[in-house]
Amino acid sequence: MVAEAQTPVRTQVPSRLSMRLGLRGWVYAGRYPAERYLYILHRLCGLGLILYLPLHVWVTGRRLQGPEAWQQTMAILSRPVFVAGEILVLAAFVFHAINGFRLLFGHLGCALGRPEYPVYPYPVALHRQRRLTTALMVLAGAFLAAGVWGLLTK
Amino acid sequence: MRESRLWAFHLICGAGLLVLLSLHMGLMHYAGILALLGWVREPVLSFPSVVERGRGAAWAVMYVLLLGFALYHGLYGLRGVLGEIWDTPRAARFINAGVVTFGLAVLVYGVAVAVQAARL
Repeated sequence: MVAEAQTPVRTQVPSRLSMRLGLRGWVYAGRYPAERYLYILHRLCGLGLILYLPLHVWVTGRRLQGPEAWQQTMAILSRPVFVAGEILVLAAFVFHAINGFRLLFGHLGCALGRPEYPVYPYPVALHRQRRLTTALMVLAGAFLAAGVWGLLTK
Repeated sequence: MRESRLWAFHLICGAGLLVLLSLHMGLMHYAGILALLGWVREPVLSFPSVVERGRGAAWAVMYVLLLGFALYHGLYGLRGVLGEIWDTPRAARFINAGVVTFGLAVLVYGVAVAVQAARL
């Protein structure tokens, strides 16, 4: 018998900073499923909406200055750039609300199926919810289309 | 325990927003469709319409509730995102103080607008 020389195995522990993906981790989901992209979009829409909220509250407060101030504000908001912003807000709201409904549904354990023994191939709850997810995203698209139509024809 | 309560309230506010914000957005952004159905007669953003809605107690309560739910839900989410980026205890205290101050300032202004609008 020949004794084999054993080389010591060195494990490198990554530092805390090197494990961070930074902004790349916000937009790139790698091999994660589609739900990961919904999660990223949910966050971005949520951030957009909370940043918009104080501006919206200020705009609604303009009515206290009288009808002239209100008309002036509405005239500014009817410019194409603000209409485009309004469409973005509507899109963010529709997506965030419908995806939030899906998340709430999941938190309550709905549409995830009954628990099963972990036998290979393992059941994945997300796959069971996929049909509901697809249906809700189609619904979001329909609401958005109707809303954009309503905004452009008012 | 405290964090799970805050999280539960975040979900409750989300469910409340789903109802109240859908009503608000439905009226404001789907006015063209509502007008086709005959549910809305004059433009929802005309000054008389806006003043008329502001005078109703039910509308005022709805808007204040909507603002409270939206601020809590949104700022709790923002706090979570900022906490992931700056995850030190000192940063957490700073973020908590910032979102509470900002939220209260917007809430006080929003409630003041709703109260004054009811007197127009």
